[in-house]
Amino acid sequence: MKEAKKKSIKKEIKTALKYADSIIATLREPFLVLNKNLRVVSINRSFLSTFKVTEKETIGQLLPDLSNRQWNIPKLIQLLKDILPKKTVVENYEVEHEFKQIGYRIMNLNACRLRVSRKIAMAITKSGREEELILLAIEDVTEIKKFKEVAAEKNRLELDLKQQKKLDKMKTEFISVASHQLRTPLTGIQWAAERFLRKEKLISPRGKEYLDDIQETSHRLSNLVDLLLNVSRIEEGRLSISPSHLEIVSFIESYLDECTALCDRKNITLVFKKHPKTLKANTDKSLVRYIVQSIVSNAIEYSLKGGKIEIFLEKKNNKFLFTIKDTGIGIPKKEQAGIFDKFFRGSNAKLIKTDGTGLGLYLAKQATELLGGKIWFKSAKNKGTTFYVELLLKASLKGGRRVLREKI
Amino acid sequence: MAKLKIVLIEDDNILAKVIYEELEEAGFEVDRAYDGQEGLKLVRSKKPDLVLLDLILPQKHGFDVLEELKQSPATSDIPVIVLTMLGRDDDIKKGLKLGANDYIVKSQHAIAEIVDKVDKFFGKETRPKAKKPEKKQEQIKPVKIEVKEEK
Repeated sequence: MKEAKKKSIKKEIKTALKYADSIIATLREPFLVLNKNLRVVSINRSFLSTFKVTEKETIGQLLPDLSNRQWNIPKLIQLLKDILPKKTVVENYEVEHEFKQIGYRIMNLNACRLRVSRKIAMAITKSGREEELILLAIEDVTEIKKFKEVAAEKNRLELDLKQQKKLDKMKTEFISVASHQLRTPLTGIQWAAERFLRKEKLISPRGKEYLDDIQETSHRLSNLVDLLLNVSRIEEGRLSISPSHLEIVSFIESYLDECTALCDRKNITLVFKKHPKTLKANTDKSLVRYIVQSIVSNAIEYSLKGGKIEIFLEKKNNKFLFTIKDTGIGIPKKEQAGIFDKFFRGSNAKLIKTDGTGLGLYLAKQATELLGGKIWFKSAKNKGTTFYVELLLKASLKGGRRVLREKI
Repeated sequence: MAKLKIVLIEDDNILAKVIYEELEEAGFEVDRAYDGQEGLKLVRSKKPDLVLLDLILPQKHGFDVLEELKQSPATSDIPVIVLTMLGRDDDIKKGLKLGANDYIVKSQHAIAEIVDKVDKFFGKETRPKAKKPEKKQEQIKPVKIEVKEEK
C-alpha cells in the first residue's frame, strides 16, 4: 500500500513535470532556470532557437560563460545574484547586446525567485539540493522597438507633411491675394501712362521715352503677376480646361508669326515645315498656346545669335507630337532632373538672362498634364535642346474634373 | 441725340477716374459709384443704358449687385458689363450666368480697348485711334500668353 502510494505520487510528479515541460516548451519567450550561482539548470526550446545554441553547450554552464561569455553583462549578473539573498526581482530590465550568432538585439529581461520543492528540484537538477532557483525570462523586443521607432518616424513625417501642406496652402493663398492686390495698382499705372501718352499733346520726345519705359516695365510686371497667379491657380487645382475645336497647324503658325520680330533681331532661323496640312483637335486653346509659347520663347531666349529653331508636328493615332529643336545653350546634364521644378533655372540660363522666373516650364508641364499629355526633352550643354510635347487630339476632361469649384 | 448714360461702379479711385474720363471723352454721360450699395442706388435712380460693374466692391459684392439688378423688374433690362480683376473662369461663368452681358478683365486690356468694347456694345463704329481689340477667345482663359519664359 505504502509502495503503491509512493508510486502514484511519483507518477503525479512526473505528470506534473511533463505538463510543466510542455508548457515551457510551447512558450515562445525564451527563458532559463538558474541556480543561485547562476548555473543553467534548465532552458526551453525557444532559448535554444533564439540564441542559436544547443542544449549541450548550455545546461550546466554558468550564465556569464555562455556563448563566449556574451552574457557576461556585469550589471545584469549583479541583479540576478541579488535575487535570492535579497529577495528582489528583476523587472523589465533592458539589455542591448551585439550577439555573435544573432546580431544586435534589444532584450527585455524579467527574473524572479523560483521556489520549488525538494522533490521537484531533484527532478530538475538531479542533485536534489536546490530549493531556490532563478527564472530568467528573456523577451526579444528588437523588432517591437524597431517598429516603434519606425512608427514614431512615420508619425513625425506625417506631421511634417501636414505642416508642409499647410504652409503650401498659405503660400498659394498669399500668391493669389498678392497677385490680385498687385494687379489693381498695376493696371492704374498702365492706364494712366497710356492716357498720358495719348492725351497730352506736348510731351517732349524724351518724355515720351520715359512714358514708354513706364508702360513697358509695368507690362512686364503685369505678366509676372499673371504668371504667379497661374501658379497658384494650378496648385489650388482651379485651372479648368475648356476644350474647343482647334486647327493646330494654323494655330502654331499664327503664334510663330508673333515671334518673327524677335527672331529677326537675334538672327534666328525659325523653321516650321514638317507638319500635316491641317490637324484638327479638340483641346484647350489657351493651355496649348501657353505650352507652345513657353517652349518656343525659351528656344528663342536661349539661342545664341544665328541659331536655328526647327518645329515639327506629327499626328500619332489619337495624339499629336509637337517637337521644338533648338541649337541653343542646352541644359547641363546634372541639372536636367530639376528642369520642370518650380522656380528652377539652369545655371547657364541664369547667366544669359538674369530676370527669369523659373516658372515657364513648370507651368508648361502642369498644363500638359492637365490636358492628359506628356512633356520631355533631350539636351546637351552648348549643343541645344529638343522638347517634345505629346497631347491628346481630344483633350480628356480628367484634369478638369479635379478642379474645385471656387467660392467667391 | 441724347448722350448714352453709363453708371460706373468701381472702387479703385485711379481706375475709376481713367475709365470715367475716357468714357466722357468718348461722348457718354457717366455717373460714378465707389461701392456696391451706392452703385445699386445709382442704377435705380439713373436708369442708365449700361452698367459697368466691378466685382470686389466694399459694402456689397458685385455679384450681389448684379443679382439684385437682374431680379428687380425695374432694372432687369439694363445691360451690365462686368469689370473684373480676377479673370478666373469661374468668375466669368458666374457673371454671365447671373445675367451679365459681357465681361472685361481689366488688367488684360488697354483702357482704349475697354472704351472700344463699350462703343461696340452700343453698335457704334470703332474709334479710329483706339487699338485693335483683342480676340475674344483669348479673354476666356486669363493665361497670359505674351510672357517670355526661360529654361
